[in-house]
Amino acid sequence: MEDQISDRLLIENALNALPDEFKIPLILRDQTGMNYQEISFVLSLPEGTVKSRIARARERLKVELSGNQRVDQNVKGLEHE
Amino acid sequence: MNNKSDSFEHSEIISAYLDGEVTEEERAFIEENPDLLKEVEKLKEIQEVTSSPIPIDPLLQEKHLAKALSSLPKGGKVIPLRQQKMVQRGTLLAVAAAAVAFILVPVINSQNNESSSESDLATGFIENSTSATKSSQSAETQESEDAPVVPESVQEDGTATEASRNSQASQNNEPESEAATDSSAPTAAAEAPEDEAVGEMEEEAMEVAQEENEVEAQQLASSEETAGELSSRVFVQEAETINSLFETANNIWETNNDIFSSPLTLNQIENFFSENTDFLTCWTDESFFDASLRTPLFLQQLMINGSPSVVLISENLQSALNPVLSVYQVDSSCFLFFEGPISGEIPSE
Repeated sequence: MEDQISDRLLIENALNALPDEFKIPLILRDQTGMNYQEISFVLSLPEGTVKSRIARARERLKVELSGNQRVDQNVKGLEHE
Repeated sequence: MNNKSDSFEHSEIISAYLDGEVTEEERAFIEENPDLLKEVEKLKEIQEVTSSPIPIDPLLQEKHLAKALSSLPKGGKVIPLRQQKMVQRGTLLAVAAAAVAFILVPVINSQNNESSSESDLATGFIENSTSATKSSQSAETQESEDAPVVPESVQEDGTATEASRNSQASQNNEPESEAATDSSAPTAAAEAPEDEAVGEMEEEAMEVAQEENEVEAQQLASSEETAGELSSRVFVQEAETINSLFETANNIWETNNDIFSSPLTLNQIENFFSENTDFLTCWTDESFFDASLRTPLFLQQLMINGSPSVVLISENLQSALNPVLSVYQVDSSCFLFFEGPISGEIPSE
């Protein structure tokens, strides 16, 4: 349970760290289930831009979360030592 | 440089692949490349997390609740959505619904009749239907056997409850009971509770009337004396109709107990406004159906002195008053034309 909360906080922090221009399309896609066309209409952006911003947002999240995982692993490793 | 742009292009395609937004070519390209499929799996984990519902923080929830409660006016009374007295109120609602239904047909008819006063026609009908109701007290079984005369608007919009249809059935007794009109019946309005808001509204109505015509203002005053505390913006020419509406509501309430007691469903409300598009602005107006303020129980379109109006009967969740009858009209926007409690007293069990 604590792990879940901790993971959730990590993810929320990572999401919040994203600039709005990346965060908003990603949330519209993943939280509301809109497709690219709908998001492009809502945000008045070309579909290609929506596509690339969502991809960039995920890339950033991936980097951010894998970085945190590495830190966590290092901390756990130190604790074991 | 090329590798970087390729990498970025790939990440875009992978992300789009996850979202099902790739072409057949792009799909084949990814599925043929094991490295890209691994990337897909990684991104899929992230997507699962970002698409999971955000949990409500209990502490934050408590904080919001406390803030909301503290913002309530001091001395305010919190009334649960489902009150124990709902059954009693249902009776009152039934009365009100029936009252509205009673005036529907003649008022519409009156609009087309240029040779006589619309208000008089409506009022006359209400008086007739009032006496019809009284006569129905001794002939309830006959009432139920009579085929109801339901106006098209009621048949089609589906918002009128079975109760209101039943009430219309009693209209069929109209010719038999014309002679039985009793003008001494107590009005519901006469029982309306006195409060400051009501007083203010009355003053407003009076001021408007005085500006228009002093004589008419005097008529309004005398009408209010006989009708009691009508909380409203009632213009002189409509006062009689409104008084009759309340009188009828009161009489039906005394003679019919179980017409309806169910709140309108969202579907019923939506249907009503989709069929009465002139009043869409009322639907979009936040205050009209603010669920925290009132529970809609009855909706009907009718003509009041030639003006299309929407009658809403609702349970007021913010006060201990009985169900409220509101009349809305549309000018440039939806405005509250009249509002008042159906009865000043809740009947004891």
